[in-house]
Amino acid sequence: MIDVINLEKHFGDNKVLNGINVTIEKGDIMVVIGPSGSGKSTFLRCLNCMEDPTGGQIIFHGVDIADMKVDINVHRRNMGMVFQHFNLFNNKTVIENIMLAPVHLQCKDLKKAKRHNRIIKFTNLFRGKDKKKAPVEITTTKAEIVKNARIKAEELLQRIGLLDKADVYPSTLSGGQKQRVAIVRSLAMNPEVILFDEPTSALDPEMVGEVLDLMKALANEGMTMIIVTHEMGFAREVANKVLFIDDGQILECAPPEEFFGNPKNPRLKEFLSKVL
Amino acid sequence: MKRMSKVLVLLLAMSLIMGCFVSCKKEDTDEFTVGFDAEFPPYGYKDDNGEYVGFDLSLAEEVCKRNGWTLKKQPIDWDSKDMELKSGTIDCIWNGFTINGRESLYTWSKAYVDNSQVVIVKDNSGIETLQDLKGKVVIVQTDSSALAAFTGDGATDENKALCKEFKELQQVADYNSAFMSLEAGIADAVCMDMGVANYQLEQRGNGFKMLKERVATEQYGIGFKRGNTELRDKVQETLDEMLKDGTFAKIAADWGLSDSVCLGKEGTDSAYLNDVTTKNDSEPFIDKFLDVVGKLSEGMVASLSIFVLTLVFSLPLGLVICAIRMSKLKAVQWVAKIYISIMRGTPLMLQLLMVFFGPYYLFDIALSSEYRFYAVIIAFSLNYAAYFAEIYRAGIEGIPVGQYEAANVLGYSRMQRYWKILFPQMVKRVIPPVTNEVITLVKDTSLAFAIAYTEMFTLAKQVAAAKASILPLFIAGVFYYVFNFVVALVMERVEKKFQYYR
Repeated sequence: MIDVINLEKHFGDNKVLNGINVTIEKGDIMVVIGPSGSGKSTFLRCLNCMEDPTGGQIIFHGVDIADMKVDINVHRRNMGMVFQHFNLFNNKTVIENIMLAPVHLQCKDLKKAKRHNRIIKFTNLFRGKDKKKAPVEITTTKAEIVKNARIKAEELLQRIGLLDKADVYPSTLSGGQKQRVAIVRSLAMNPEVILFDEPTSALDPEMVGEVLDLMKALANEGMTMIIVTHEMGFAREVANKVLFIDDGQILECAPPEEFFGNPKNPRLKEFLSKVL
Repeated sequence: MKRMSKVLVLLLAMSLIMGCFVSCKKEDTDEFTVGFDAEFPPYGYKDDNGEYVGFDLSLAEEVCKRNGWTLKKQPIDWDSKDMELKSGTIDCIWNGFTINGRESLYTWSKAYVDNSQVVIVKDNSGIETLQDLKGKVVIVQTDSSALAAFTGDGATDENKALCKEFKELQQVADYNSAFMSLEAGIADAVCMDMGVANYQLEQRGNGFKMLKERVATEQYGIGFKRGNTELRDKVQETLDEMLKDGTFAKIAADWGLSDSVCLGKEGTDSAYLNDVTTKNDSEPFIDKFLDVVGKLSEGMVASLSIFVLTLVFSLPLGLVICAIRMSKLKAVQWVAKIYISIMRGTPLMLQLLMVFFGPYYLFDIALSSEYRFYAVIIAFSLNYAAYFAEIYRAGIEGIPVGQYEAANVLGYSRMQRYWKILFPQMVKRVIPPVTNEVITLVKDTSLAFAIAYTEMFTLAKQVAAAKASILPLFIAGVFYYVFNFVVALVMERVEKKFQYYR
């Protein structure tokens, strides 16, 4: 689904990513680990062009989204992202946080369709009787979009057991609750893949479990996920591919059994001996 | 009997103390403080070397020399001359000070200059007689004899009738801005003392002329605090001496005023002989109070409109400047940077003068007198927008970068990200600093006096001068305080409204 070819990222003279090549298939649960400063977060942020790559290609559904000419917003719809610091909108309630983006996108499509129809109506004035073009069928209204988005948001909140928090502001939630809301917020967009940037690093230890449980559930449903994390247990249990990045390069890429049971790269061996 | 003596002793003690206060002061210091308006040539002004000079000051110097006093030249704000005199910070007002109409307010010397009120117009204005001034804008100095000649209690009926026919009788703080207004076409005529007029015409050269008709005749004297005949007599004696030995005539000739001096002539001592020591202030306090409050309320409307209109324009304008300042293009950024730097780096009063007079002096655009108010609003809005822009920028830059990133990831457009996420969060952050700025604005409205726009503070000063009382200034202070109290209350409310999230 995503082909990363020779990806490079420089900040000035500082080469953070140094030719990354990796392929992500549909349904993959790929965990990225590595020492701090190794470039793993930058790698993740390059995948949806939060950082513009300096070189290389990212082929997503046959389109190179690293190309500056591509409208990245179109592709970001299909790539959810979850941040270390949740980044819920402080000035919106929990349910607004979830609904806002889907409503915005669908309304934009609706507007586009309406504009398209107006143009067709106008150009039809100059067309022959038998050559009239049919307008695009519009089946929905703005009120309906909002209504459906609310139903979906409520379902998602129900799923994480936070329906009673729908109308409160994020500042009143605990860290674990915030991160779960952030995850369902990206789910509300129906993405094909979700990128997780150290989703549990900013949490108190007792809250890590609830977030990991939600991620596991998503994995079991077949969601494609790319996760930067330090949770080795989670990687071993859930991932089907584990990536070791250091100095901006992939040093090892293997299924978890092999990755943890029989590491080949000496740097990885040293790293695992420190963290396990 | 005992009680009587106690009262007597008390009275004696009090009069002793009072007497000390009145008389000791002079003997102890040997300083003679002359209050004068530093922008009133040739009687008292700052010359090219930065020294205070003038006919009156030369006279005062000579008087001091002969009495062994040290002369202290104290430039004063003409509006507050009565307060200065009453509080004893100056010993006399000696500065082309018109006696007519003020006979009972001061203890006067004999008149020493005969002056008349004349009208100056532009050469090509077509105004030839006083009657031609109908429907025109006429300028006088605040609390000057020219103003009194038109609106004072002693004004003649013809002058009062003529004044009603003016399009407007404007009061300015000094003659320089009066002439600038005349030159710029904002006003049609300036009315002032003849001596001043002669000097100004000489300095400014062609382009102006003096009408042959006189508005009023008047005499100048030295004004002392009412009842201070002791000091007055000393000064008068010395002046008479100087007249006898010819020094007075010489000084007058030095200043080119030989034609106007009248010391020792007939009919110059009516005010001198009129020594009123008690003032019959029959107006009850409460009437005076209500009168002042009523007058200031009119000024309050003006101040309020400056305040409201400035906010209406500067708050959104600040947003635009902020957007330019935060542009990705360095060159565009610099435009806003320079703008902000100039607006913050120069006094608002100067900016007011630039906006008001700039169009004429830079681009030769004729101005109307209505422009005065627009100029105030334009200058205030431009100035405050610069401050608001920087406050907004701080507010936006203080928003965590994660809020941008989350919006980007969720596919928000630039506009949507700004209006739905960043703007509301910025507004909440900037309320406290904006409140600060708004409260400053309330007080800054008084700066409009710089271009003679009559807002509350200008009015308070005028009323204070006319009534020789500090009460109007005090009431003005209360007005400002209440105004700001309300502003602070409203802003607190707004801040609470935004407390719905943290």
